[in-house]
Amino acid sequence: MGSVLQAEVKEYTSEVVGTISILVPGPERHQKLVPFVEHKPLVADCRAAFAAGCPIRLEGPPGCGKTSLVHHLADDFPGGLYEMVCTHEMEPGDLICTPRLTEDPQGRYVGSGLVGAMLHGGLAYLDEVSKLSEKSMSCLVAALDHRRSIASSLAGFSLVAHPSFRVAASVNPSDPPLPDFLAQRLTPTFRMDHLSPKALEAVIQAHFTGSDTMPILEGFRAFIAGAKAPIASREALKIVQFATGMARTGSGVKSRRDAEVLVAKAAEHVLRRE
Amino acid sequence: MQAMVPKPIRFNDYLAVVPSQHHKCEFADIVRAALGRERFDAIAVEQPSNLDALEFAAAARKLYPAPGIAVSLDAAFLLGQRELPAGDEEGKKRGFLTVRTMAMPMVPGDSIYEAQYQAGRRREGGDHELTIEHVDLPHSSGEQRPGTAALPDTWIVMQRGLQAWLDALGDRVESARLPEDAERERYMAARLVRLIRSRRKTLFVCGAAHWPNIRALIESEADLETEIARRSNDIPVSFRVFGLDAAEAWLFGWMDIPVVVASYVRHDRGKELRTAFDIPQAVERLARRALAQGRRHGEDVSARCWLAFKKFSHARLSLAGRWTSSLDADLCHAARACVHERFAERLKREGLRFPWSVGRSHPKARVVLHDGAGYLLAGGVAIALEGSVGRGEGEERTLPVRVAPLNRRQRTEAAGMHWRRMVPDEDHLQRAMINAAWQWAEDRSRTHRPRLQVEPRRWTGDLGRGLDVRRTHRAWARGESTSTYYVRHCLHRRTIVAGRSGRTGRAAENRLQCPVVWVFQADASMVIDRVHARMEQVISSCYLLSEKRTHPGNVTSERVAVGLNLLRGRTGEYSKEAITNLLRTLPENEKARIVPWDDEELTMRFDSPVDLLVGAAVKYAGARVILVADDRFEVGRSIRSYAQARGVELVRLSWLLFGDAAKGRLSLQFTIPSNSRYGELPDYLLRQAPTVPQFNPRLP
Repeated sequence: MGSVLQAEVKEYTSEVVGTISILVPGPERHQKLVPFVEHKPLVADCRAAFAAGCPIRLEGPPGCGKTSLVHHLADDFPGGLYEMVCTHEMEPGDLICTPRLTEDPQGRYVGSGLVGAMLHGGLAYLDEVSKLSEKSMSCLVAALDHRRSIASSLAGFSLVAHPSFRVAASVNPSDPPLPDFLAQRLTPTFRMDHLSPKALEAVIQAHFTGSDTMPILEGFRAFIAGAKAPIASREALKIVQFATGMARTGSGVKSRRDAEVLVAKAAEHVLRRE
Repeated sequence: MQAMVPKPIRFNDYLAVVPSQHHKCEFADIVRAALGRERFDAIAVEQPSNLDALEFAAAARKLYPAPGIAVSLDAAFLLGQRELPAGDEEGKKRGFLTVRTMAMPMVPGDSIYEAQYQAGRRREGGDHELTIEHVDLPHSSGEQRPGTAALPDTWIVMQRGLQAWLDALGDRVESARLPEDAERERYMAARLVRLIRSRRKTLFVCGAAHWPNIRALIESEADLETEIARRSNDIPVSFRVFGLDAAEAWLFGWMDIPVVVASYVRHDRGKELRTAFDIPQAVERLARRALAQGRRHGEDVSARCWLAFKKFSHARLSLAGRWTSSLDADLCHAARACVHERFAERLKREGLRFPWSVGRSHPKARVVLHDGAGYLLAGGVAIALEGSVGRGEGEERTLPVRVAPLNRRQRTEAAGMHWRRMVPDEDHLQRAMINAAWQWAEDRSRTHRPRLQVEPRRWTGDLGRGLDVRRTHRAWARGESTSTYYVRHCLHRRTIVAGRSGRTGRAAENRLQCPVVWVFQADASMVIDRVHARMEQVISSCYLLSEKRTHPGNVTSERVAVGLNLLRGRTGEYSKEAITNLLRTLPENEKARIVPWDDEELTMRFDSPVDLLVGAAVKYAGARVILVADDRFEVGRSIRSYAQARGVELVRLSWLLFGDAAKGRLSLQFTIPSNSRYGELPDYLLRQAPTVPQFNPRLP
């Protein structure tokens, strides 16, 4: 039991930056995702932007596949993926380096995912970057423009990124717009929308391959055909997952009608929209 | 250093080929350079053989003096050429019908257009022996064609040559082939074999997908000659040419980025022939222009965004293995991603700019987008262009603003468009024929003496005949450097005389390329009225003088007199006064005439005067004779066999295709070549004229 959980723990390694030794997180063990059919041109665009040395900004509603797209792109980076979920509470130090109460001189500072990506030449993913305060945003600017560097006055180092280092940031349209100084640096911007029913079906099929899921998938197909509003891929996965769970614990699925009823019931709970 | 333009593929001593991707400046550039490097006797293009290439090209040139955008449509077929569709009673009444109309874009930046345009320029510059051959069969519109796989980038052409590009193309376009393509290729191969056998040095410009098959057919040495006769009925009888806006042409994938094409046209006029047109540089200029325009209107772009735009768009192209950008899918997309939506819109507007407006003749010709399909509306006729717009390059093209809404009437028209009756555009046909005929007459009627021709030329230290102020100003206005001056330059033109093959000793080259024979009944009063005007005919033509007699039993017969001569014209105008004044001052010995009734070969062969006339045209024709006559008029068997023996096509044009007003104008312009009065007709004419009761067309 314990060993399984251990395997999922992200390891921090000690890296020497200048004269200072800091603990740096390793890359995320991201899921190998099926590339979206609809997002293939977008994947090509993102690769072109990375080839040009530009950071990218993905704009789209929640559940449209921004994170999945970044996970897919991360496969191109030998340094791996470093995710940072941004919040209002984040201080500039949280984005670069935070101190640690320890006597161990090797582990006095802990670097952020951004520092890890800069050191290892990975892809730093700043999720929901627009949620950051302006103060925190301004500490990112040097990392995002031609300087490709970051400085920590706390730990006392200035770091120039590995040549393979790239940044991807995601933004929700409902969030306030980014200030100009960051928006200009986070270009090109690619806008994404909810997947079409056909693509959604393909995503669901790729995720659920078990034989007991097949009837549910039939029911889900009928459900999305009649759906009036677009469904986020995250919601769609939840609906199928929930409906499959209900089928397993209940009396099972005997007919297509049963599947449709189960999916409708699951959807009612998952899609509780105001 | 700029790249050199690659050479065409050399098939043999007589045939050079430019297999092209349509509407790509790179291939047009190859054609332009090939014609600059080498002299050709003929230029064959993949265009349907309708009337004659010269007329077609002349019509386009005269309508659009600057390289413009034209679309020609194969329109009507005579009854009997095609099966009448059920329910087309109106077509039946009018004596002709339309099958699927075909949009045939002629736009600058296309290799086929370039071939015709350059040939036209060379002919105007004195190379009158250069001919344009339309060697294709009519075919259905492009909307039926399945989508093509992505074609290899044209960078390969510019760096490694045409053959390397063809090799890279391989069978990528196989899926886009239609069943009728095989027939077309067979016909084209037959026409090319004929050109090769006539030992005329030919430049053939066609779509790249056709060339491997045509090559195989020619190399197989199969008997293709019968193919031409077999398909002679498939030649449509009329076409129309009309202007189309550059943005609309671009929308349908008939044109590369308009502003880039405009730069190409300017490059064509200003730079060394062998230096390749630098397309990426033109695209770069477009982006800079959009940037400057934006600044002028207070929409600035930050340096950071501009750099991101440049880096991103270059990286996209490099990763896709391309060297040229498309407007929507590359440039505007990159602008939207890296700068902002307004810059993308400005870039698009600038990209769609085309300096030469061409919508004069058919201002109503419009492309209409509706429900995901496109329609081309021209002269009240809608042609469907279904399927995704901009197909073939893997991109969807959109215009910033919809061109026009489709109203109910247009929608109804569009619904049944495939079998709609279309009245041929007599104005354009007429103008085309006049132009062509004028050209022939002018070409053939020159004397042996070299004639000085003054043309503008770039100043290179020699002032020639002085500074050409107008030309210089025009060049500056078009964006050429103000350090460029043009001077008047003198050229010697080689000239020939029509119908005097014996004297010139150049019988084969001294033929009329395509005489147009007008056969109709001339009214006696009209002849008498106009005989004093000394109108000269512009084309070889027929006039019939009739004297109606009623025989016992109420049978009407006519005494018919036939005359045929050839006008010599030296003015660029078609006014009666100009021609008359010119002819009055012309020495008698310069007048060229073809007199069929003095020709023993013809008089021995043909009894009927009409046959004699058509026979004369066949004798002096190059590839074909156009016969304009009433539908009831039957070409005699002797004529048909004579034409077949000489390898001349007889193309029929129905008199009914012309409206009353047009007929009136035609009669004014094409009739009465006679120098003699009605009452002074030579005796031998009247003696020879038989009674022709079966031929009784009505003149309006």
